[in-house]
Formats: sequence, C-alpha cells, structure tokens
Amino acid sequence: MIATLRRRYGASPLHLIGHLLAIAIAVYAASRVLHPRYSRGLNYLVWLLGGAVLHDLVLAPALALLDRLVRVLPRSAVNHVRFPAVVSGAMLLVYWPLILVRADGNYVRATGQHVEGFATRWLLITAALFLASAVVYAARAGARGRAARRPHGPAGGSRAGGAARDRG
Amino acid sequence: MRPPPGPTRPTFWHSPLRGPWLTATLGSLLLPLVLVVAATGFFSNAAYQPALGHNALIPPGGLQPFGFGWPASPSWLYALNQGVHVTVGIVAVPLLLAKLWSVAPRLFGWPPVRSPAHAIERLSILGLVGSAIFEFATGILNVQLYYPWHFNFVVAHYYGAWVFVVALTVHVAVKVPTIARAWRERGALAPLRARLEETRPEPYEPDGLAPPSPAAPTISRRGLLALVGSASAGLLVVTAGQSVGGPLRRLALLAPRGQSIVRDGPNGFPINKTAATAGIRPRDTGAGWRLAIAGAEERSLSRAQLLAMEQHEEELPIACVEGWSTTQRWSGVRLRDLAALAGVSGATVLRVQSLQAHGVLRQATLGPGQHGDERALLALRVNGADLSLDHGFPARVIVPALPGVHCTKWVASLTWEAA
Repeated sequence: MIATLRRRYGASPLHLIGHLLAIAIAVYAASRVLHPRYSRGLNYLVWLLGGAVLHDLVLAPALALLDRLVRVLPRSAVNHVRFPAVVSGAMLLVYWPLILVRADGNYVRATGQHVEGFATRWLLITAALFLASAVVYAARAGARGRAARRPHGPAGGSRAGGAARDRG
Repeated sequence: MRPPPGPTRPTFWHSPLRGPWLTATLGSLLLPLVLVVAATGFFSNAAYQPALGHNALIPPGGLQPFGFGWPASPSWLYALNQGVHVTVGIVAVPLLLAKLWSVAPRLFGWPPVRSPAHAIERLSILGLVGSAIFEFATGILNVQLYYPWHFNFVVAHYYGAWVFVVALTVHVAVKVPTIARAWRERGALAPLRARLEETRPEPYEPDGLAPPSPAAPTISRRGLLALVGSASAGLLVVTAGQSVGGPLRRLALLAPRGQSIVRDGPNGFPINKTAATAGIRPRDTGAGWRLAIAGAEERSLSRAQLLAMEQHEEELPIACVEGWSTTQRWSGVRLRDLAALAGVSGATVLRVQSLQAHGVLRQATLGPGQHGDERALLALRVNGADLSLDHGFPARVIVPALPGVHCTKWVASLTWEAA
C-alpha cells in the first residue's frame, strides 16, 4: 500500500504528512491575522504572497537586466562596477523609505525630528564606493600595463593577472 | 510536452555559477541567520510578558508557546536581542536575494506540476518565499516607521513568522539530501578555491539548477560570495551603530536611529515617542503633578517628595523593539522602595500607568523579577539633569532588560497587585 501511495503521490508518506502538517499550521497562523480586527479584507494575503510574485516577475528580472548592461563593459571592468553597485543597491533596497522620505510624519511623531540627510548620505556612500573601485581598477590596469611592457613579466600577467584573477 | 518559449526552457538560463553546490552553500549560509532572526523575534514576544495585565499585543492563545518569565539580568539582554534581530535581519537581505537568484530556473520549471508531491512542494515553496519576503519587508519598513499596508504589524509579523518557520522546516528536511549530495560530489569548500579562469560550471541535469549551455564566467564562485558578503558588510556598517551606541552611532549613516538622531546634552539620546505625540500637556506635568501609588495602602507623592527619598543611580540601556538602544545614567527612586511605602509584601505584579490618555502602550505590567530588581527605578533625572519632557518628565520607569516601550514615560500611577 505504501508502495502504491509512493508511486501515485511521487514521494514518501512522510513527505506528504510533513507538508500537510506544515500547510495546516501555516493556514491557521495566517487565519489568525485575517480577523477583521487586525487586517482589512485580503490586504494581508496580498502582502504575504505578493512579495514572492513581485520578486520573481519584477525585481529579479530587473536586476538580471541591469547585470546584462554591466556585462557590456570590458571584462576586466565588469566586477569593478558590480561591487559598488551591489553594495550601494543593497543599501537602497533596505533603506529606500528613509532615503526617499516616505514617512516623515511618523518619524517626527516618534523622534521629534524630520527625516533629513539620508539621501545625501546614501549618494555620498555610493560615490565613495564607485570612486574606490575606480582607483583599484586604475591601479590594476597600471600594473597590467607595466607587466605587459616588461619583456620577462610573470607568466600570463598581461591577461589573467591582477584584476582578472579574482574578480575580472 | 515542450515548454513555451522563455524562462520555462532550460536554455533560457546561462549563468555558469548556478547549480546545486552554489544553492546548497548559499542556503547553508542563510539558514543560521534566519534562525537567529526568528528565535530573537519569538524571544521579543516573550519579553513583553503577554500573560500579564494588558501587555499582550497579539490576541491570547494561538501558537504562542514561549510564555516564560523574561529575566531582568543581564540588563542588556533585550538590547542585545533586538539589536541582533534587526541587524542580522538587515544583513541577511543580500544573502536571501542571492539564494533566490540561484534557484530562479526552478521557479519557472516545466511542466508546472509533475506529481502530487511536486505540487504540494511548490505550494510550500510559495509559502516559504512569500513569507520570507513578507517578514523581511514588513520588519524593514516597520523600523523606518513606514506602514503602507492595512493590517496590524505586530500580529501580522508574528504569525508571518510561523508561516515562515514551518515552511522552512519542511524545506530544509526535503533538501538535506540534496545539500549532502552537492557537497559530496563537489566538496564543501573545493569550488571556493577556483579562481575565475578555473571556474567550471556544475554539470547539467534535467530539472536541475545548472544550465545546459552555460556562458563563460565573469566572476568566480568565491567572487560571488565576496560580492554578497560586501553588500552584507556594507549594511552592517551603516546599521549596527544604532544598537551599539556610543561613538559607533555616528557611523550608522542610514539606520533610522543612527547618525542623524544624535543631539548634544544630557537628554540628547533617541526617543520613541514625543510628548506632543502622546498628548502630554504642560499642565499635566507641572507643580500639580502627583504620583499615585497603591498597594496595601494608597499614597500620593509630589516630585519634591520623590526627590527627598533615597536616590539611586544606575547605568541602564533602554532598547526599542525596532532594534536601536542607548545606555544612559539614570537616577531616581527604587521601585522596591516605593513598594515598601505602599505597604506591599509578597510576590506582586506592578501595573504602571502613564499620563498618556490613548494608545495600547500607555500602560505596562511588570513581573515580580522585573519591578523587584534592585536596579529597577522610577527615574527622575538622567545624566545629572532632570528628564526632558520627551524623555518622560516628571518621572519614568527604567528596568533592566525590559522592552523600551514598557519603560513607561510620564508615569501617573503605580499599582501593585497580587501575582
């Protein structure tokens, strides 16, 4: 009988029991929030599942597209753009409500101060990251250039060395 | 059945880094972080002592098994708990995105359903990814005081965590063999030793993660981990200072209670609610203010009478559920001295009420171990100066390891009741 179940179901009975148990607990947990005292209509369910859809159909493709644009650059430069862009982008993804001043009223009520300077600081951090990456790139490009001009430079130094070794 | 053109076809995907080893490694790095965030989240609910008085922010019953008495020692326990909850959560964001990126072909796998087992697994993955993004998104927006939704944050974030934890449990149980196989075949760390020019794609398998026609790599596997790690490190630097405090607060360039919030002077540390927001009027806190205490007997005390009692000074942190905290030098009257004045004996709970007229947090109930701690104060002064109105003048509660919102400001009355 277990063999039949396994064939029809596609996995072990334990797989089925585990998933049914998990789904039951999850549905019960979600239903606690759906009480009209704690949420309006289906807004909670839209948020609970909508993030996955938004990520898969909007955020992930957008990031993949941006990366494709970066890959147009010379290979040795690609990761010198990726690093500052990813570090700065992660900060924007987390802190956009402060950077774009989305809740100044709540911030004033909580702290007694206005949301100020977050956008400026994020832009300065971003500029500093790209500048630092550009300096490293220039230094590596210089090192590659010197290695290429030397008649007995290290093997493969002109292409695979320097920036290309780890990141390029 | 041939899949329709687009991401449902394996040939749509080209990244030479995707494969079981990469996903196993990213997942194994992410797992301890989300477990720490989940555990500290459940601890935080326990720290509010929801069984006492009107403390519960979540309706009683229903998946709230962690009802232990929250201790008062060490005094930085709640600051640590919330600092870890918020900071680790934020730092894990790049890793979560990398993990989701690594399994992207799976999300579009064809046919959409191969068997009942496959269908139920995909349903649980939808719950897992949905609740993960939900928990991260709502938590991160909450600490920035941005609420673009129509549900109660505390209730939704708490039960969202249950959806996440159960979905994660079955996911890990299902994937342990896959992780073990990936590490057995490729070595747990060996792929990290490969430099870019040595980076080879993982072998293609039907319905697997590795692409059938990989492009030339532009980054090594260790380079990808360094990229994710850099993003996490960047977030750590601009965030952690709001929890650590001191000079590091100025380094928290983007955290909500970081660099921008610091002010000079003894009352220059962050607050969670202004007196104006709480509706505290100057005449409520003026010379006519009296503290009502009630135990076996009832007393009414002016601020001058409180200042004439034995004053104690304690260096204690105040820590917000939103992750920021700050340690200050508070002075005032011990809560246990006030209890003696009210003729209180035996184990009691202490109900603290604020002058604040509205809001669920205008009152808090403290357990015996909390209000009975010798460092637990009704603070009148901080850092050698009178409390400012925003910090709770004329008097506020400060108790070690107690969630900040339970350190009631603008105290109107203290009532000891049998535990």
